[in-house]
Amino acid sequence: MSEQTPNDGDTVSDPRLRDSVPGIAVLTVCAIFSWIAALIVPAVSALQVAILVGFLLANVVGLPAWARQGVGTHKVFLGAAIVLIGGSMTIADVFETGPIVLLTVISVTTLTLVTVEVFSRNLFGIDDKLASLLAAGSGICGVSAIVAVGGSIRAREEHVVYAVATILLFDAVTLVVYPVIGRLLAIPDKVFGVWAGVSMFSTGPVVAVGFAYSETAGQWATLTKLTRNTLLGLIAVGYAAYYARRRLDGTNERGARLRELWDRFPKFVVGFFVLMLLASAGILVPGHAQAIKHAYNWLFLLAFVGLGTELHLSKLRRAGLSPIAVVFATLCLVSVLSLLVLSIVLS
Amino acid sequence: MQLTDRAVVTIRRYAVDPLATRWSALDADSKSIACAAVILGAVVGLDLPIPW
Repeated sequence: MSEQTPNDGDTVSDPRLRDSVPGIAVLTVCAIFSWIAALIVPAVSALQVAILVGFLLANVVGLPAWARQGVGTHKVFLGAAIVLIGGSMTIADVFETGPIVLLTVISVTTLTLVTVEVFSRNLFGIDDKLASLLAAGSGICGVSAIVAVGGSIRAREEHVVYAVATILLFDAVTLVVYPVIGRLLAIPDKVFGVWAGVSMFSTGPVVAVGFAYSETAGQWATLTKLTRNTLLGLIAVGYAAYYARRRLDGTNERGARLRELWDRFPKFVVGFFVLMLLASAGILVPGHAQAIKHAYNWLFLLAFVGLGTELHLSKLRRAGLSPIAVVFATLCLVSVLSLLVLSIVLS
Repeated sequence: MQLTDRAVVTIRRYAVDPLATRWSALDADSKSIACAAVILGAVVGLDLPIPW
């Protein structure tokens, strides 16, 4: 989730900062359009419209060069929205279901990692490091995990590209399929939220699907996904140690790797939990909570228009067939199992 | 230079530009947290109503 911005003394008159404004204006116009569309057609969620608008903008109309930098800031809005969601949840909510969610997150992440590794190496003959990248992307937090683990195990660039393309493909598919399955099976809000949070891949689509389903589902999807994201450091260090031992290179790169891991770690998770603590302490009155909820809904609209623009058909075509088959088999297995377990435990 | 022009230049030199410089130096996650903090401050401190 990290966007690298060099500290070289930008000012308001600096073109890089100024050039973000047109793109942010595009996001804002598309977000308002999505909001109005959802008012006119109440059957659709404004968040789903926002993703569709972004997708059409990038793949049909074509994103103009002058808007690219500003549209690229959508990750900032997503992170800010996730931090603000922390204000709508309390520690009491988490303690009520927390242990079950934590246990589910650890179990499902482990199952996903093992399944992808075993299927990749034993059934499809995929390169070991590509298998590990696919496992990290499917098991933890999508593209961020691939980049973090890729850096920690010194993966080849083409493997990173394949893994990212595969995960992006499934992000696009699950964005559409999960809500349909949820409605067809009439899955309760909380179960749906935790299920999406534990089995889908990237943070953006998880939050989008959750809030498109319902407010409660969105909150649980976010909490579950953020809990899963916190495993990133542990998994990446584990992979780094595994490949370092295999290479027997004896070099001491631990400091550099830990730094890279911290750079890639989604630090807004910390903001989410701090705000949850403040909400639990009773600092926010009901009127504030309502305003915060509206604020994060607007931020989501901006973020999801941008998310839609990242779903490039040309990028999705880069994924190879074997990685797709492995991730598809794993997703089917993990999502069915986790839905069954969550339906029993949380209903 | 008129008083208003001088005020604009002063505000830009001592408030807007330093803020923009600090903002540009932040990574995306820090910008997200800063953005959320500003919204939270506006809601809690100023009772800013946000419609939906």
